[in-house]
Amino acid sequence: MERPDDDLRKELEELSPHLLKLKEQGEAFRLPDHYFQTLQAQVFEKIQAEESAVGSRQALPGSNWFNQIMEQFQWLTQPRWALSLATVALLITVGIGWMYQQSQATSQNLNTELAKLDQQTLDAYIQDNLHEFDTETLMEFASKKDSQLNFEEMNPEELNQYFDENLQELDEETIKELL
Amino acid sequence: MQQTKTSDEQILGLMRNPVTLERGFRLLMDAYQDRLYWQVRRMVTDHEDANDVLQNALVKVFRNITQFEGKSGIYTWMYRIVTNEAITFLNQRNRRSATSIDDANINLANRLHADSYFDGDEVQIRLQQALQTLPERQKEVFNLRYYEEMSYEEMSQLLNTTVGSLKASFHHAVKKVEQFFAA
Repeated sequence: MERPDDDLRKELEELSPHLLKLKEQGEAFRLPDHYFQTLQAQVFEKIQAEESAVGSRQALPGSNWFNQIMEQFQWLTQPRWALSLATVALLITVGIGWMYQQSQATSQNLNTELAKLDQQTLDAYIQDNLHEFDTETLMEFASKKDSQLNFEEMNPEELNQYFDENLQELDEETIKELL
Repeated sequence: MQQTKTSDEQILGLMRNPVTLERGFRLLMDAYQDRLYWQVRRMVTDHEDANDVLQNALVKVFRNITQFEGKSGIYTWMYRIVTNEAITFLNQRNRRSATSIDDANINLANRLHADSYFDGDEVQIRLQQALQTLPERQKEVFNLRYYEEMSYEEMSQLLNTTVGSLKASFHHAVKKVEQFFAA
């Protein structure tokens, strides 16, 4: 049975006898035994835990920003994420390797096939598909074609035609060779 | 309040010196932990939550004691920190759980039944449910007057409000609790 102080008793008698009766029944809330002794110890443990956490962060001067970034990506080190990322990386590497091999094989096959074609067929193809080639490729093709010229295989008419068309561009040695 | 003034100043003096800081803080807790605990417990109702909230609040008091300027009493300053911490906790708990008054009442009853440090009967649980429906300020005034038996003058200094307004708040709170029981 709890007895409230006189002021409160008078006030509750006027306002709410029911609440006064409840008050007199006593406190419904209890506390664990020796709670306040353990509370102080727990509060100081918390304070010390916070201090050591701050201390360990400050132990690496200049690396706080790096640690903060690393903390953001900490989840990547969890096994399921790490395994998933490793699998994706492996698939990408294998895919790139396969595509590179395919492109090399295609390029070799193309060169082999092109070598079998005669010059007239190549010229006709280039003429028909001129818009497909850029200027540098055409220049390269032209220079190779020139370097592969074999004057000894030309008949006199072809030589004369070539001479007339390219007179201004031929150097002295080439002219001597033709004559 | 005047009686503890000298004692408060001595405690604060100890806490201003790093060598005696811990001793000062222990004395501060000795002086006020009981009142602060019950303030929190009345607000959050179960012991484990009250313990968490009070510990967090006391750590904040320790961290910020250098910012205490002495414009109010040290207990008033601590009371505000503890009350703010409890209100923040209650807001978080309310966001997580109850969506209606009925849900809130059921949740509160379940919590009190599960709390091994609550010995009240169904009428006491109804009283706690009634208090839960009060506005925060009325509930605070009710707790200080009804449970802590604090005088209106002391409450006026603590809450920085007039005695008349505190009396009106308490009377309104009591009437609302009565209506809750009658419903």
